[in-house]
Amino acid sequence: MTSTTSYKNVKQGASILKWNVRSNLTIIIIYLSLILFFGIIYFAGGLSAQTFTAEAEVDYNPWIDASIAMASMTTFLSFVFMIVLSIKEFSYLHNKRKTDMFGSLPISRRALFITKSLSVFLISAVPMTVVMLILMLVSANASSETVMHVFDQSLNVGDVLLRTLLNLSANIAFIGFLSVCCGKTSEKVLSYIIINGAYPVGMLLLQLLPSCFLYGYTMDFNEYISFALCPAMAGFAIGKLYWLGFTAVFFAFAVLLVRKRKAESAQSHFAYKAPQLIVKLIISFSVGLAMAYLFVALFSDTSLDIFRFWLGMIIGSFLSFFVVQLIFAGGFKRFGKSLIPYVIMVAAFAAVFAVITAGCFGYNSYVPKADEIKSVSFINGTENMNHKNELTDKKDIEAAIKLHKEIIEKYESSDKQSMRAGTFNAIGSAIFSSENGYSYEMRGARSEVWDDMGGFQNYSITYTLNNGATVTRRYGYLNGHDFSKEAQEVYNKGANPLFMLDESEASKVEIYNWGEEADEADEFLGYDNSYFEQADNRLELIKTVKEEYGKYGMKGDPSDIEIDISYGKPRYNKRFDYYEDEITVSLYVPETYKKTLALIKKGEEKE
Amino acid sequence: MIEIKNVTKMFGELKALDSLNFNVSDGSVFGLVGSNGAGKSTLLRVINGVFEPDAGEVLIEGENSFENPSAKEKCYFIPDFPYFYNSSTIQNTAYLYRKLYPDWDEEYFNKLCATFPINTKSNIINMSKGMQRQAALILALSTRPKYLFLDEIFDGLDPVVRQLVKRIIITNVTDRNMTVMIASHNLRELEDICDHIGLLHKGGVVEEKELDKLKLGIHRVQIAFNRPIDESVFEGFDVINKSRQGSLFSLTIRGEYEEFMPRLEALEPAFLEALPLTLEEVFINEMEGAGYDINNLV
Repeated sequence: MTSTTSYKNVKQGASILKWNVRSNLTIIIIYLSLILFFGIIYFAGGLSAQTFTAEAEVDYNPWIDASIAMASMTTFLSFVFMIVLSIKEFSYLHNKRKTDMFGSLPISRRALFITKSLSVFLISAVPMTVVMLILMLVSANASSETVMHVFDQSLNVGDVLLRTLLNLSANIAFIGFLSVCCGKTSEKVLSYIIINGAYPVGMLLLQLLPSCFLYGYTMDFNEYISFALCPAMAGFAIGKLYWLGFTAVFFAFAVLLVRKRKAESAQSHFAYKAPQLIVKLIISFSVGLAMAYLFVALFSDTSLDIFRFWLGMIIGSFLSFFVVQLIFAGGFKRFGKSLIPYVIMVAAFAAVFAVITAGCFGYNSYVPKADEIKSVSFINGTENMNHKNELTDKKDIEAAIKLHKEIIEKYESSDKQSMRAGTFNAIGSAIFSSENGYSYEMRGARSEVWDDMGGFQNYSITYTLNNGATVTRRYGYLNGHDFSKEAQEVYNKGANPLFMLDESEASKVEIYNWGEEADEADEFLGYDNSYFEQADNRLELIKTVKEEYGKYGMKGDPSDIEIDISYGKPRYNKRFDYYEDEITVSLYVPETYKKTLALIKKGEEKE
Repeated sequence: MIEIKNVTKMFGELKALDSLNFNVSDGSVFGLVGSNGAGKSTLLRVINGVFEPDAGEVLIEGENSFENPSAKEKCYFIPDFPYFYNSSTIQNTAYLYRKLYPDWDEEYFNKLCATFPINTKSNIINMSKGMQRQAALILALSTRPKYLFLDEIFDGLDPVVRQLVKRIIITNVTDRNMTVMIASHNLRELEDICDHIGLLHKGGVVEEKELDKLKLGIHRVQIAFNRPIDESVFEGFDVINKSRQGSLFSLTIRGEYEEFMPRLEALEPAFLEALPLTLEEVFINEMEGAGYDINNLV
């Protein structure tokens, strides 16, 4: 392209840009009006709501939160208008009459497409940016704190602005790309909805699958896998750099493809087949997987779980593929041929499924060798504590390996028919580690008695190998006191705060009596803890508890007594990344702890 | 000059244009006629860069027209159903074209707005089909194109406006050497204005000639004999069509009048008359030759 042609294209593009803004003046006025109308409501609401509740909070400034509230509403409105404008402006590719008009104008296809994209961006971004900049000033001025705090607060709105701009760019680039590939506006809209809606659902469900068969599997939803093709989440999930790259790639592809696009595909068929295929596969995979889990969940009988899973998968995926193919093709023509990629997808998934159900190349039974291991740590995944103690001693490492193998043995000997993936409870529990535990139910290994160390007992073992790699396994809902003494001891050493923390650091012991004799006026029978305020008495109590814990574990019915031991020195909480002033170990004392109960009674009598 | 060189255009398996080859000279008014689905509108779209040809090329003043803003600046295309935005008026659409077309003539635009009976501030989409065409014409002619392409331009125009349009086109052709290419089924109007005709059928060119030569190259002849005569006497003539009612023969003969008339007179007919065909009759006869006639369709 000569420089004259380039200059001409820029000049023509600028003319069309101005004309586009002029012709969308009504939309711009509506857009601005809605931002002001709803934004002011949100701002005022933010101011007035917080005034009643936050009077005592020193650092709180209602103007800042009100600014954020208005900024969020502005983000939402800009997203909505960006969608509307994108559909409108790119529709010249999907209407034969518009194609005639724009195709014959003295401007190249690429220049026209770029101009259209820029129009949408400017119209949706500029009003939003102006409002956000004003809000940044408001939140900066509203704070009476230090300069850095002012800057920080202003940056909150600035951060929303940046994320919103990223979101708009990514979506415009993506919709532009879909517009170039599709022949009809309806195809474009459907593709956009399917990709943004079905893709993350499918990916989330797919990531859940290993946890149904691989005990010890650490289920972390990967943001990249879950939202990589979901521009609706741009700026608000994954990193900002990713979305910049996403925008650049899809925009570049669209500009490349628009030149060779067959204009006669308008109102007719997809101009480029690849996105059509991807959309069909995404929707059929996601719906299939959702139906698979649902079919498993529908029956409490766990036999034939896998059969039901696949029945749901085939029915859901085929039906959704069929419907979308019908919509895209406008009929049944070439339906047979279109099934080929579907069959390949199902076969590929079946292969992955087979690998996972077979144990994923020894994932279930893998335990590193002792001479490969540099250190081992356990994380007690309870809610209020997450202590980790790295063990490097050779004996400890060997004991940890023994514990790990005992855990595996418990899983191996349990009923493997119980694949419970699919119930919403199980899915929820798999995601949130709720009361029902992991989705792989292990009869025999399930603990009947909670170890009330503030939550549920899950075992997380992490090996740091000599080569720097880490191996982590997380096992749910195990009663550690079913294991051998050696295994239990090493776990206590590595993860049980009762054993990890030095009893001499205990600053306070509080005892609660939750029994039937409790005073009806109070929730609990108060216990005068003054006896255990003395360090020697406190130390004796803790040692007794430890001794009986080591002997009995948590076996036995819980008594009415709860002990809370507080350790006063600040400790770094790795899970939540802050320093705790105080750590509390809570324990419902089992009735088997005769000595402990006797000591507590003694302390009560002495008062 | 517009050069159409081996242009082929496929829509899937359908060959809409099949290796078209012809030129359109500057300053001519070229009429594009043909059967339904012959490829007239497709050809216009290929010339204007809306469609990319699958083979061959279209050159406008030696430059390929596809993706060439410099070539397209000199052209203006009014399709059979011109598009206007809901809020488009002649005035606000002119705002765009003023910037896009370097030869935009504001004075001429105002003159045309005054000439045509149309409100330049009303929404074009709310106007009748004919008025929408007028609006499109005003905008088109105001860009002062060197090459004007019109698809079914007379459709919807009343007879008075049709005369006006023809007059304005002719004026531009004579004053500015504008080249016009008109695709239409309204052969009566084309006959008045065109000097060249291209006849398309099934994507190919059946005939492409100056209009006069086309019309003069084919005649309707009525010849009667007062004696029995064998039809073989006509074998030496290029007879496209023949029918007989008793001793009266009605023939459509291709050839120069000065060439076939003496030979017919030599047959000593009782009655002999030769008339040039109208463009419509030429079209029908040529199409019959190409196998597209009413007997094949019904």
